[in-house]
Amino acid sequence: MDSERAERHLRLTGEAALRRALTPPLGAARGRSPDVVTHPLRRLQWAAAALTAVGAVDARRAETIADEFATALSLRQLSPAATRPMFRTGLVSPAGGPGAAAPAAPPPRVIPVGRMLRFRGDNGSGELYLMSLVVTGDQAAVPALARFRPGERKAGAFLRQPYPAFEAMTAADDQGTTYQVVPVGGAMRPGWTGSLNIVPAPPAGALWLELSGGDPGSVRIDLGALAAAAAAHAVTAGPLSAPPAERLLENMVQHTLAAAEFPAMARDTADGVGDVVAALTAAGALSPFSAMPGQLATVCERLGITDHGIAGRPAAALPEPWLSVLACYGRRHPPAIRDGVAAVAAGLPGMDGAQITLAGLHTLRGQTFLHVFGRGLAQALPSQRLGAYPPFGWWLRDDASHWHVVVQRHWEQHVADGEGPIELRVVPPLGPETGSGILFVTTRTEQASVRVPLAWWATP
Amino acid sequence: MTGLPREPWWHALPTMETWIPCGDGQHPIRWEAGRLRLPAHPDAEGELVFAALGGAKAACVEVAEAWHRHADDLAVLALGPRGPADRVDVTWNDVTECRSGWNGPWSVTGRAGSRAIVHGHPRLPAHPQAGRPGPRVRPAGSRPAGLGRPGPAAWREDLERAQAQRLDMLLLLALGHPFQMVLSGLVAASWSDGGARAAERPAHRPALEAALTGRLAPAAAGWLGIDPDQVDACPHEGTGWGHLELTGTGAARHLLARLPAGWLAAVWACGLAVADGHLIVAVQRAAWPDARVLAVRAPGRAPVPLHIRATGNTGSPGHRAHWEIASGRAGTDAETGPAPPEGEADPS
Repeated sequence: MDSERAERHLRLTGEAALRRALTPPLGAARGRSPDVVTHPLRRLQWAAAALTAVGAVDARRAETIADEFATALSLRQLSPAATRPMFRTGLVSPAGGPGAAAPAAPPPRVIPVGRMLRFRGDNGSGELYLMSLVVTGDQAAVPALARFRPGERKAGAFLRQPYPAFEAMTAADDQGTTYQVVPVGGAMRPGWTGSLNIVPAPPAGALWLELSGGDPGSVRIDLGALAAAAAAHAVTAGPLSAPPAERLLENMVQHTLAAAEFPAMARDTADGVGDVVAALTAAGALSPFSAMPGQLATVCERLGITDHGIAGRPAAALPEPWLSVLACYGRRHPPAIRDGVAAVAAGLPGMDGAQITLAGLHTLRGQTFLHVFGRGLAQALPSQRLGAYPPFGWWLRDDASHWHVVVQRHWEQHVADGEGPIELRVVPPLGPETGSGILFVTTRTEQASVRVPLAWWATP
Repeated sequence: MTGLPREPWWHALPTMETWIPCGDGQHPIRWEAGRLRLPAHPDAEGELVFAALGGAKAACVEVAEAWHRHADDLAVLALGPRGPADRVDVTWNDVTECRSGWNGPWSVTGRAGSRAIVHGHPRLPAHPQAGRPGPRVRPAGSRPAGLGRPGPAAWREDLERAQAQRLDMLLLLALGHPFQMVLSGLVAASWSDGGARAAERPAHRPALEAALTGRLAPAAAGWLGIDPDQVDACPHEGTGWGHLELTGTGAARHLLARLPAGWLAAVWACGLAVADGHLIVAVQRAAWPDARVLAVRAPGRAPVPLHIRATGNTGSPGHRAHWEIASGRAGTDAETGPAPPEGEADPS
């Protein structure tokens, strides 16, 4: 990689953006059409994000360049609202690296719960499906899915209060110590999904933890069964060989495929891929002989995205996982997927200083989510520095040899420093007929594939 | 531009003047004989001492300070005009607004600075199916936490620096287009051979390359009718004026230029880039409104010396000179003669 070439490309892209904004195409008045400004600027921003993500250009330098050109546009009074600088001065995250990983800490302990708990609050009632209990040094959390009972949620409560009313939830241990139950998650019609954080974490001597939801009945979790997360059966583990630029492009493919069900969304997601490929190539980060751009172009075209802007010919052959996902969404009558909650409790091998614990999986209304508890993820995952795409881009192969992309639930979901729960979306969704899968996990420099048994225990 | 006559780059510029709000009135700011002058403040240095002791600083003095602070700042080339038609209209009201917005560093929003900058966040969809993601940014006012990151004091200093830079830039751009061009020339000259920053040129090659391309492209579009996106320029190092090469045909034409960084100062900043269908590649001798230049009629042809003369008045905002050939017109022997070896243009 050549940082001078990368910076040169960025600056020339900025010059072209400014020129196009100053001399819009015939029929588009200067500064009147937001697209005249935003489109060239977005091209610069995507190039900056991609080059930063693969380490071709220093994040602060990229920030300065993008700021300068955005400012140059706004100084010319070209649609100020459309020319907001992308990056905030002085707010660039420092480069991640192995040295920046969280200090060593005991591995998370996890126990599968697999129980349903009824709850009742001021704003409604329903059932909570508790997947597992994860306990780390100073945190405890229960990944969970909530379903509301029809007609019992007050009108408007969903909009006013995105979190379900868990005010009646309590937690106590065998020694009489009570705990706060803090829901962290998001509404997912017709329910809620996230984690119930237990504050503080139960002490080592506690024998059990009992959760109740204000309705008759409770769930008691045997803390004696808490153990270091059972190591998932690693099929393979080792260093990652693909260059960062190819990994970034694969990440783009994964997110485009994850939106394949919705053509407009897939088009939005693929916006800028041509600029990213051009930037990576110009910087020498991507080999001119790489098959990846052609493959990316093929995926775009298979999804009806013909204006992807990737120079060169689409590739004839695609990797098997990509074909598998494309085939699923190419079906005229895709199979219906039944709802379900699966217990998963397994720890992955340490990767780039991160400890990743699989804590549950659920499918609701045709969408599947994998619940993960991570420590040190912010430093271990790629694309955390002004990355073009969220850092998760994993694959899962089910026991029927169908492939699924595993991406973040929310684009804006921040992978916190330290530790915390993350929900990953699995596309296409998995149903209770899937008994196991192999999860292919990648971090910044390492990769592993692990076998994940899925013990489905409830249908919400 | 080794091998070419060395004389001050600004000899092809006229004296120019603008008036700015200063104190209770309007004061002139003048560019004359290669220097910025403050006729209303004959003892500017004394005023600076007075300001350092707690007295008020005159706006004219502030402008002069900013001018000198940014006389070699490549950000000027990133923000400033790309050509005579590129208007960067900053008013003194903008400067006043910027000053009044000084409520502490937390209101600061941009490194480069502009009245229009309000840092927002690219819309990130709440759901992966809800739209396109944007590069990751942090909410306004937030700051990353963790090891190795700047503490609040350092962050505050960073933002204060950005705010000061923003005000400086607005002050300078508010002087108007002619002064913006001169300042751009001053910056380019400092990075040219013999300039204060010339030795650092290799480390700043991408910025200089972009500055050259961004200014040559519109000029070449007017000269050749070429798509400006098909113009690439890079700094010429070594002797001579540089090199021009046109490849392809029709819409696929591509112009590759190697020009010295000094071209931006001596040629472009003086409004000389294109004159009567010629691309000016060097100035041999100049004394406003006359200049003897090396000009290229078409890529691949040798540059020829031309005597050109400015008409119009660049001395006041909103006016710019138009350069025309005064002698050595197209079709003369001088143009059709054999090309001297590259880098050894006829200095006569």
